[in-house]
Amino acid sequence: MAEKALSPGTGGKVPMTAPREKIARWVAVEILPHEASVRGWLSRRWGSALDVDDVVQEAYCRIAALGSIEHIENGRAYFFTTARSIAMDTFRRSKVAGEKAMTEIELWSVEDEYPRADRAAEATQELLRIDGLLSTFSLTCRRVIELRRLQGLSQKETAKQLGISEHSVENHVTRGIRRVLKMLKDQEGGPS
Amino acid sequence: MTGLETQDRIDEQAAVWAARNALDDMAAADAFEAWLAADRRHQGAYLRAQAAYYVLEEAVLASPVPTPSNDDDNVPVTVPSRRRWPPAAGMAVAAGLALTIVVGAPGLLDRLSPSASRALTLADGSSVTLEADGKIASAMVGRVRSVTLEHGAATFHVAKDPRRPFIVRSGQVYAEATGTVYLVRRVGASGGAVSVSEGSVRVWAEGARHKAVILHAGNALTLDPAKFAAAAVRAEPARAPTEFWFDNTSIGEAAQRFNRVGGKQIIIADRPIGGVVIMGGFRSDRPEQFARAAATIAGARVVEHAGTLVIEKK
Repeated sequence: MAEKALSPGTGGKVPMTAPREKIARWVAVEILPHEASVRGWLSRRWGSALDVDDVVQEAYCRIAALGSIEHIENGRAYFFTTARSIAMDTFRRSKVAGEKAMTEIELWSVEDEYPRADRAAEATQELLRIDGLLSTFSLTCRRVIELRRLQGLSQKETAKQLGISEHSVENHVTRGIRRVLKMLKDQEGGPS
Repeated sequence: MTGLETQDRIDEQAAVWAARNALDDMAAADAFEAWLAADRRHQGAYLRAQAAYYVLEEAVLASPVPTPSNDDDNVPVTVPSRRRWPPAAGMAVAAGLALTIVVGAPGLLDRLSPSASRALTLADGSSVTLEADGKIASAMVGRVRSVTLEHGAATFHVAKDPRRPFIVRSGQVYAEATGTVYLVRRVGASGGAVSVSEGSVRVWAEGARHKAVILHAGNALTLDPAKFAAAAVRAEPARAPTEFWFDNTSIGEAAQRFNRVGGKQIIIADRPIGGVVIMGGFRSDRPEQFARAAATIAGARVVEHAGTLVIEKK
């Protein structure tokens, strides 16, 4: 039933993207907030030997390929473990400075753990994050989101109400998204 | 399809698609799927951008922009007044809870009378201006910078320290900030009035931090737990429900509106039903009511299926 185009008047978007949406919502809460920590850890641990951006990007690709995230108990742990696994794969494949890469793997030990979450720091981070985020978005971006999610207005109606073009509506949200990503990437993610 | 596309370019495209999909019901699904399939990196980037959209959405909905209204700016509004004050996410409003939110120009904020005030500097560099009879006790060691407002009122210029929340306690009311300027006044034995000049302050009643309200510059909030009804605080919808009014709207369009605000999704199984016109007001948080009314008008029926409401022919 879920695969038929049943949603009112549109191309049946709702049921088919539901699992993708669920995963993305989970990522928003369980993965994204830890990105800065993961980057910091990768950089301190293997900065010269790895492209941190590549590793992080690959981690998201792997999560995107998952059918479901129900089996993952701890997103932060999963993110770190995945990043570590990718780092290992990178070293194994590395043709340049093969010796150095092998040394890295040899030096690897069970004690090489990633930093555990600090609940108090996380609470602070959350406040900071919302505080920081809100001052980042344009007022228009905030209004667009409110009109859509609180009033249920379509993009066209939103544009009309705000007196801007539909393209501009989209632009404000696009920029908001990019700023969120930049902020989450840049902020100090708690204890190292 | 070579690896020449830079990461930044991919991220830009991913953000565009995430915005488009979030906003536009009729997003070009084929073009999107084609872009996703073009490069493995696109999928990871899109997931990240889509997640960022949810972060953005949550932050915005947690602290709605105060909206101007027809009321005089100087009149404090008592809840419930849905027009003026959509509650922050999770804020429970109990029967009898006295909550006053003042929205408007900073001129509304209390000003301490200069002749009667005293200035102090705390160990962390924050400065406090006490009103004549204001009295505080502070504990600046450890993870939290804690100040207890024992009496009267005080304005805090909080030194920025992202690692250590600055929390002012007034009776059973807590007001937390990182780098801000705000005033706290004792209200009764257990309450507090908080006005924010700069930055953001999170305010909650003891034991209910998860239901805190976030105030921004220009906002003020008075919270007095003593005025809570004896009955337990009931959980209310996170946002004050709005009413959707349909003048001459097709059931299909009306259903889309409900679907956008994220409640139980309404699906129309048979196209002709979607074309029937409906008129009337419906609470935005009651999709079932709308679905039943729509079914009646269209001579159809509502069936609940896998958590969605399906309107289909009888």
